[in-house]
Amino acid sequence: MTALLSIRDLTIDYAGHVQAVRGANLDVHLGEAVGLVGESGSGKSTLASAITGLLPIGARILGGDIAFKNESVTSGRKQAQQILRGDEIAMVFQDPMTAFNPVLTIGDQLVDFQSRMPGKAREKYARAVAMLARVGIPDPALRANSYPHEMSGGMRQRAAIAAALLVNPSLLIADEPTTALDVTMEAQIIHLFRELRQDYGGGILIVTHHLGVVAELCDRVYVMYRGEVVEEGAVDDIFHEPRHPYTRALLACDPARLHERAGYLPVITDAERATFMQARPR
Amino acid sequence: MLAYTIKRIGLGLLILIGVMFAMYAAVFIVPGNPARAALGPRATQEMIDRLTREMGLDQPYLVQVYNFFVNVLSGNLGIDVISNRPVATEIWEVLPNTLILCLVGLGWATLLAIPLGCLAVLKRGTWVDRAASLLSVSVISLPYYVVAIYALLIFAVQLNWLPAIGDGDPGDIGSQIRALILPAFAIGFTWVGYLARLVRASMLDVMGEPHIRTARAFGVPEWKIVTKYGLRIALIPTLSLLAVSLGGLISSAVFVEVIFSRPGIGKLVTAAVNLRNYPVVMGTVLVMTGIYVTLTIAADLLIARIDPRIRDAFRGA
Repeated sequence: MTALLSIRDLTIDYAGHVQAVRGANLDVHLGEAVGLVGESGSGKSTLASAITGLLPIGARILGGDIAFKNESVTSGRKQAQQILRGDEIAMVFQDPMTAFNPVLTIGDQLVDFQSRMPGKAREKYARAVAMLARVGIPDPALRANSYPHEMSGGMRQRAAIAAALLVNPSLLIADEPTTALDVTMEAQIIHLFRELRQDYGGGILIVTHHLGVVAELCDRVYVMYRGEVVEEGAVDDIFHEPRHPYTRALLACDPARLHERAGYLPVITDAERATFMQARPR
Repeated sequence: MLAYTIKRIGLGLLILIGVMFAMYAAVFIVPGNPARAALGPRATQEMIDRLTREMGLDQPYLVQVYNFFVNVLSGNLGIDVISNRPVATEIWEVLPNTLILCLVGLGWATLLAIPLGCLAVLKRGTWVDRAASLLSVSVISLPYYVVAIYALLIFAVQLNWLPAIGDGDPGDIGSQIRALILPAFAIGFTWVGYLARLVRASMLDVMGEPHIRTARAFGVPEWKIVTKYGLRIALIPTLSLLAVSLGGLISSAVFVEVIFSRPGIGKLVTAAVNLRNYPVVMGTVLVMTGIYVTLTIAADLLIARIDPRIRDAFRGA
């Protein structure tokens, strides 16, 4: 099976002195959901935004290659990544509060987001309303005519997912899709993703620091630490037999996996961190 | 929204009433008897006393303000002590001239400044951005009266392309437009730099917001992101600052009208001040305040029109 997305030896630095991503390898195949986990600052979001060329100002790719459907998008013309956006690749962002323009209606924006799709504005609007219904937004015709601030956080994240699905992408990248939501909303969004996977044939890359999300949604997982992919494998394997000490430490910190009541939530200590650096990536 | 509009208009009326009190206080404080000034040096004390009575200047302060207020309500701004014509008529004759000058002056500046500000953001960090910044700052630091005098010297006196004074021949639109070019240029000149910098700064703010990233991630064309997603939000702070600085626009119109000897409110009020022609001064100041208040309200309503969040906040107000 050839990879839909294939990242090889990718290195990205910020302003020339911080290497946010170091020699990372990552593959996503059609029909598969891949998790990318790590703590804050591990470089997972930087890696995800590099795929569509949306790196923040100051960040640049030092080496390595990103290939989409066997064609390199980083070497060669700059437009290669831009053409993928909103067509082959769609993104769902972390904070639904700020992901939509505050002075335009949701429907208006969902029409614009289909800029790469054929059809008249009226058809796109109808498609947007239907998709809002599909992601479980009640009264979608009314909601399409609402402004972002008139909707709840959970509803906006549903709308963001609707936006991504509207362009029928081969690859869906969700950057911390549940991080800004409360626990109830998070459960609902995870449920929605599971439901949508049943008739979505493309690949999904979910960037998160929440291991529960990975366990619920993903087939395979990559673990990042300090800009490096330290471990990669099937979700079941990694959850049951983590090989890298960082993965073990990360799993030990997940409150959902605690077997007995603890006085404090577990953390990764500095002494532990010292051991991670000696461990080789697997 | 309606409640908000009514509230804003009510506040505007309060400002106008406040201005009336302040103007009458000024008559009492500023030296020089208006009646004596109006009658000239050869007037007898008897004549001066009679005119003072006629003008109501012997009445107590509050009574004078009250009389003025009642007169204003019925559209009567008093009588010009020199020409003996109603002040309202005199203002009405020249008001369109001033309004057109302000509108055209601010208009061309806005039409140039908004694209300039957007261009600077699109080409951020390049020589285009730096050139636009340099241009803006140098333009801001030139006062409009300097611009007006140099424009007059160069284009009217030296090159003789455009008329130096007046507002054109009555009925001849062509000559009226030609007479409008230099004053409107002088008024708008500073605004180009001011507005371009405002638009650039607000655009930079907006273009860094996450929703712009979303639009980019969906491949929305960059020109559409700038004009529809960016500019709409960037215009909100620009408009509010614009509303605050409209007073400066009106006062610059006063100077420019004097320099170009162009009939208008500004010309009227400066002549009236020199002659201690109080009814005209008060009438004009009141009308200018009225214009200022109206434009500020208009800007506020426009902002609420653009930003649904502000609209909703006012729904309860």
